[in-house]
Amino acid sequence: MRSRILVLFSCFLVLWGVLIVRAGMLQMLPDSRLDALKKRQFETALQIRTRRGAIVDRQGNELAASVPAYSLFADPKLIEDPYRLAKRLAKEFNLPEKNTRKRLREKQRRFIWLKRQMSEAERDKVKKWDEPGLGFIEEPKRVYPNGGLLSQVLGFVGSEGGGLEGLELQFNKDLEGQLKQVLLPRDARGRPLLADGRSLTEVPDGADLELTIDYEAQFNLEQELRSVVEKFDATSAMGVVMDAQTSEILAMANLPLNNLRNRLVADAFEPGSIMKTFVIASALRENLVRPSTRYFCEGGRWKIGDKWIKEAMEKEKFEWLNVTEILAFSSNIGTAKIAFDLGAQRLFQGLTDFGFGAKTGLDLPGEARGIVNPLPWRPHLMSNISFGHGIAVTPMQMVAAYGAIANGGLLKKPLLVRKIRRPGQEEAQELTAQEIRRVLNSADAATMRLMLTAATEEKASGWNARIPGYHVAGKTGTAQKVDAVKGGYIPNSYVSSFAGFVPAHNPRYVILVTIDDPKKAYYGSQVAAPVFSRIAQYMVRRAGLPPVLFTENNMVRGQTPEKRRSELQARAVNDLKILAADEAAGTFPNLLGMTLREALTRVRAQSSQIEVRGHGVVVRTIPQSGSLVAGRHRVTLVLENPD
Amino acid sequence: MGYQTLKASQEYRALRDRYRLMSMEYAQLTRPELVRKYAVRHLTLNDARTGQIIQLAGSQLAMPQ
Repeated sequence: MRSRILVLFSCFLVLWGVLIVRAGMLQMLPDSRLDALKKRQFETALQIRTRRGAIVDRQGNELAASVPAYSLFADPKLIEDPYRLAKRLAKEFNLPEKNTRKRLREKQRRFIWLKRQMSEAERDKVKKWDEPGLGFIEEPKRVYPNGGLLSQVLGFVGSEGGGLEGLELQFNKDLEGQLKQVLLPRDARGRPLLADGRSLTEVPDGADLELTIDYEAQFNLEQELRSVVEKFDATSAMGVVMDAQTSEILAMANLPLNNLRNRLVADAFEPGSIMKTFVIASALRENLVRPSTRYFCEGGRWKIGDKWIKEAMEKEKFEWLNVTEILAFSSNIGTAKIAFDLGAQRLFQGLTDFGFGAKTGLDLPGEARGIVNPLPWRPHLMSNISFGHGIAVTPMQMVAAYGAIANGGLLKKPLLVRKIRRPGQEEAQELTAQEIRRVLNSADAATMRLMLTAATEEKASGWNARIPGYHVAGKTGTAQKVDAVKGGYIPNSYVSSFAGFVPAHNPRYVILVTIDDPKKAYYGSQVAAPVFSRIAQYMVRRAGLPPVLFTENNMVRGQTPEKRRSELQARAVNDLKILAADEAAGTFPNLLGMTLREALTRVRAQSSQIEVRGHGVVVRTIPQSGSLVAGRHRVTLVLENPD
Repeated sequence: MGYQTLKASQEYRALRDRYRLMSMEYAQLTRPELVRKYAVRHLTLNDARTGQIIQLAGSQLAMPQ
């Protein structure tokens, strides 16, 4: 009996010993499984949203930035009077009353959005209502302060703040930064306890992007394209302005702006005669031709196989032309003959070396390669390719290729983003245009620039692209438009282009203008070349490039300072005499045809109030000229643009 | 200490947000489209016509642009 008690006692002692030891182990020794359970029960992870980085132009002007906005939510279970609240929200914020009321009455739901991205003022207004069950979450709102300017390049973000198109998509990882996760203790309801506020002091920001774009040049480009689309009733227009030496894109636009697709990189088109430049450049680098090499252009018609090729303008019946003239007068037959001398292999190599058939690598999504048909080429195809048909290129490829000629023979990757500023880093990451390959030696590039200058001389096809005071180098193009649905070409539908650079002998800007399906005229020389001229004039004037080309016809003679002073004095005395005469006569002077400044000078003294309507030169006045007036009186000037 | 730091950081964030809002307002007011509209409508200015601007190159020479 006693022994049984002893055995039982020993068993209990052992069991209790095990329990005590186990308890001691659990309390004193570390255990990763228990740690994990503890964290899950007592801690919560709080994700802190980063502020999306800004996008600025080369001068630091804001193109896109995130500003704080406040999104209103409700806990329907805590809403006391959903009818009254719904009515108030409908009145203040134009929310649909019925739908809002229905959602506020869903008591089983604990969270509903009411209005996203309100301004600070709207948030303060709702706060004053002091309604239980309402709350705000701060969410950043993406703002594009320049409206539609550069919209296709910038792209846009979705409702959750991620980039969906353009640079917002391409650089999404840099712009959104890194999501910060903070572990905090939580209460029984799972809400974080801010025991240590330091964990929330640093809210990380995304990186800022500095573009190569000049937003004033961009605005000017968009204005000019808009104007030419209206004038010629065109379907669309595209334009690029690039720095010739650094390959930085200063402006790029395609209209209409509401087309989200960036056609400058995503669409390929048959370029027409602006392609001839690269056929001749390829022949030049093979030492096959010189600028003075002559070709017989068959009087305007040439048979290849069973097909005839003709000049772009049927009236042209060229005979003997040298290579410079072939480019200047844009002879299809002359260029085709150069291509046949070059041979398909070398022509293919030349065109692919200039970057056609491959992406340029520009920092935008959705870039197309274009189409360069693989060898072998039938003779008719080769002749077509030589004058820019049977090959499809993107505008960006074309600009990069002309840039290679402008900068001395180096094909470079065009650059759109030149700096990335990451928070916490003192120095921004600088990006420069990468060199892809040398396509021409500098001597051949200089020869090409000279030949392209001839293409903008008098009687050449590019004459309308000229700028007074500067040599312009470039090429016109008038390409039939491809019918993508049925194949072949659309009748009476063309793409008009001009590609070139200025100043010709030390190029600063490469500019391409392409107008799709202009109606009232369609030749590149009539439609695209004048637009090139206006854009180029703006750019050289803005850069302060001094003119280099002077003739007697377009010089404004300078004056010595003494002569200028005496002239100004004489003018002032004359003005005073006229004023005195007007006052003495008691009549209103004749201001018709004067500029506003001249008119104001005449009438300021005798007017109590001046109203100006319109702009341009004076076409009408109230009172009329010659009418009797007494003392100081009200004057209305009506102006119209003389153009 | 932690809460004082939190309060200071919140004030800093609020000021920074205010600065950003004002920057955006400034950018919107100075955008090229608006400046041009104002210049045309209220200052009776217009785009330069060909030959209206005379560009100087040297003391005696000038080129109408």
